Amino acid sequence: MRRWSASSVLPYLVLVAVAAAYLLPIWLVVVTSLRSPLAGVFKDWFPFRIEAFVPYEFHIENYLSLMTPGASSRTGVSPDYGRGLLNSVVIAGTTVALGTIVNATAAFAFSRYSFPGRGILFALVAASFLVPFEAIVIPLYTIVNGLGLTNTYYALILPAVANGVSIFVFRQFFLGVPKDLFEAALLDGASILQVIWRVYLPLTKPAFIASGIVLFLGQWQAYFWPLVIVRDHSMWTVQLAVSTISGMVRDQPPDFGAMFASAVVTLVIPMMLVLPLQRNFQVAFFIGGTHH
Amino acid sequence: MSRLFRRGRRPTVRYHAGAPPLRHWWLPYALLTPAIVLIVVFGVFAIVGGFAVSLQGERFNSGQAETVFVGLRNYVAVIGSSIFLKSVAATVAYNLAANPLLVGAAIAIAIALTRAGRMATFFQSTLLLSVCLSWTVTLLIWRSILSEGGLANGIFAALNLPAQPFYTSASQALWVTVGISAWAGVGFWALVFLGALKAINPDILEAAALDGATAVQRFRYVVLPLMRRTVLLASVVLTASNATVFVPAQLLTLGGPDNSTHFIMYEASQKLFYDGRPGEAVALVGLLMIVVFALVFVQFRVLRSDDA
Repeated sequence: MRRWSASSVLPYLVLVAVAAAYLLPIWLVVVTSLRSPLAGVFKDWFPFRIEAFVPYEFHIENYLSLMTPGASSRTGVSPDYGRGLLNSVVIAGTTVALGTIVNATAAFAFSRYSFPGRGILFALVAASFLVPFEAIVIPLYTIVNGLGLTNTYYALILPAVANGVSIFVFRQFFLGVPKDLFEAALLDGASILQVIWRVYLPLTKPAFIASGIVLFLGQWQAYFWPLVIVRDHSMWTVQLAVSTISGMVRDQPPDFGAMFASAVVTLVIPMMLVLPLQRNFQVAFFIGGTHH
Repeated sequence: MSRLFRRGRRPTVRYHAGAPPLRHWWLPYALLTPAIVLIVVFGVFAIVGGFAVSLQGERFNSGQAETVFVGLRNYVAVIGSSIFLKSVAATVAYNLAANPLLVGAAIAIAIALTRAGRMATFFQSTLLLSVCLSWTVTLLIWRSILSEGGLANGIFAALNLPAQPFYTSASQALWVTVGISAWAGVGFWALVFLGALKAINPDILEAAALDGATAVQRFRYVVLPLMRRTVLLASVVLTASNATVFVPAQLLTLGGPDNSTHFIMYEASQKLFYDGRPGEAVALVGLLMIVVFALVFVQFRVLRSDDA
């Protein structure tokens, strides 16, 4: 007979509570985004009816208004979310591509060589990971502004390419690859970059995936820096678009239906990357156990 | 640099200690160059440049504003401003509430995950969902739910409970912000602590159990000490990032009501964008970072002692 003690049930209670705490609000947002914008998306919220959680309507106007110019049913003005989406995809994608190369090669140097200055340089990398980006936003803004690079892709991409967390993850995984493989490949006449590409990448795939996800999420979710640097809608990122649509910006009227639709899309896109790659991404969290 | 180029000889670069020196000594430096250059330009230069800006102010010279060196005037002005103490109080309260809450809840959830057996993957997916959340989306969701005519008050009304002002109340706004921040962040940290827990050798726990230790004792005397590094990591990163909390003030509460959420970083951004005083803004952030570094240093000392 199975014994149901407190200690065996408690973990499940905790986990169910946490799962509900995340799933319920998000489900609510999804359902509400499919409500008719003309009848009012909040109609079951107050006074509250349990139907608020039931998707009995399936209107896609809110999603359409995000993408089509002038189609917002409430304000008649295009939220221009599509532009933000495009920019963020370009920015995040470029950052991942560049960042993978830059951070992997740096981590390779740290893990496979012993050289004067290694300690100091590594400390520099670690420090960059400890200093929160918010702290340098304001001085960085004055530099970028002085260079005339405000409102450009450069300003949005370059500061995020070299990433301390990414270097840490790569280094941790590279350290786990036997040294003989490296030396053998070199004896076969391979150049360093070939060694990384042909030997290390297949063996440390989780590191590449984890680093890619970290860089992508970092750019996708960035808000303060784009807020400071972007001057007009042509260069804005997906988060800036969402915050404008939600009327959190002064003097912009909110279109709630479009707001929830934008939230869903902004959330779903990273999920489409993270959830399928879950297993590989999880491994990176083991860094928590073997840090420094 | 003198150690690097001893008496005209190249630096001694090896694959590992004990190996012969490499002929191509410049290899690791070449590999590191892009990353280091970027970190220096967008990190070190920014900090140094920032420091320089903090020492500059404006003076009006026959109708024209010009930038001059003003020494520590900005720092003095920042500390002396009426909003300074309120900003500090709001930021300190936020950190004292949010950091232990996040770490504690994350550890609890991580432990629960290790006991969840086959369902673990499902629950982990929900946590990964939270990792995909951004501040903007999070605040959008909770702003709607917690608004005056929102879902929360709708449920309260249906249950005949009094409506709550939440973020429109000077007494509740800060705690609501802490709650929202914890909601958004705990998933990620739970996964980090899960990684740390999984790295603990099960034999050690088994040995302790055989010695008669209860679950609570095993946790206190075996698990927790072995997680010390991760707790240090979480604590340091959270200190740095929660000290610079900005987005909720910007998007949800606008620093209020009654300046109860007028965080230091929010004040700095106000100084930059609305008051047109970059020198003071940077000075404020600089002061904040000094405190953060001091706290991080203290945490390293306290939590890293007798590292196994």
